[in-house]
Amino acid sequence: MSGHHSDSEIAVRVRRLEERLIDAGLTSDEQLDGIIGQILSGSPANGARVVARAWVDPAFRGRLLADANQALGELDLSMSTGPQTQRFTVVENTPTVHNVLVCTLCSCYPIGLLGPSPSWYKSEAYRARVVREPRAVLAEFGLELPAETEIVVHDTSAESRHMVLPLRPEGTAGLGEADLSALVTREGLIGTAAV
Amino acid sequence: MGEVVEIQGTWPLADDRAQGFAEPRVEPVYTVRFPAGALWGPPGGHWVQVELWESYLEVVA
Repeated sequence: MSGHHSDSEIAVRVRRLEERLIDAGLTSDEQLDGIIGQILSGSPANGARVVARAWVDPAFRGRLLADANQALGELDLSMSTGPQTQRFTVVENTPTVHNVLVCTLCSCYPIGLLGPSPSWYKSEAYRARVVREPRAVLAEFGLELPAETEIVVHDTSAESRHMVLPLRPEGTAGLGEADLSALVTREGLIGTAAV
Repeated sequence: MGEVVEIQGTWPLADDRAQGFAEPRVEPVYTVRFPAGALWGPPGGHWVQVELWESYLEVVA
C-alpha cells in the first residue's frame, strides 16, 4: 500500500497487518503492490472493448464465444493476472435469451475485464435473490424483460469467470468500435442492464 | 435434477485448496444447468447454471 497515507482506522489496521505478514516472511511490499496494481488495471472499459469488437466483427464474435481466453489475446487482454489463470467464458444475450451473472458463494468476478465489483454484487440480497427470482431482481434494476424472454443465471461457483455479451442497441449501425464501446456499461456486462 | 451442458476441464478441488493441502485433488468441473423450479419449487421459469467439481455430483440412473 505504498503511496497511500490514509489515517482512517481500517487503513491503519491494514498497514499493521501488512507489516506483520511482511515481517513473518509471508509476503513482500513488491508482491502486495503487484497484486494491487493488477486489481487497479482492471476496468469495465476492457470488457466494453471486447463487446464492441464482437459487435463489429462477426468472426471475432465467433472466436470469443468458442474460446474467450484465446480471443482476449487479440485485444492484448488476458485472464492470467491472478494467482492462477482463470477460465473465461462469454455468454451471449439474444432477442430471446438474457444472461445474468452472480457468485452465490462469495464475490467471484472477472476483475481484469470489469474492474472491482460493485458492492451490491457482493450483497447477500443480490446473491440469494437473483438465482430465485431474477425477473423481479432485474426489474428492480430497471430492466423489464418481456415475459417470453428466457433467463439464464450463471453462478460463478468454480474457477471460471464470465461476462455477458449484451445485445447491440438499435440505431447504432453507423457507429465505430470506439463509439460503441462507450455505450457499454458495467451493469450491461453483468446482465443487470441492457445496453 | 440437472443436466451437464459443458465440461470446463480439470481444476484443483476448492475444498482441498481452502485447507492448504500441498497436493489438492484435481477433478473435472462441469457446468450443470437446473430448471429453477427443480431447485426452489414454483414458479420457476428460468435456468440456473452452477459449476461443480465431479465429486459433488451423483449419477442419475
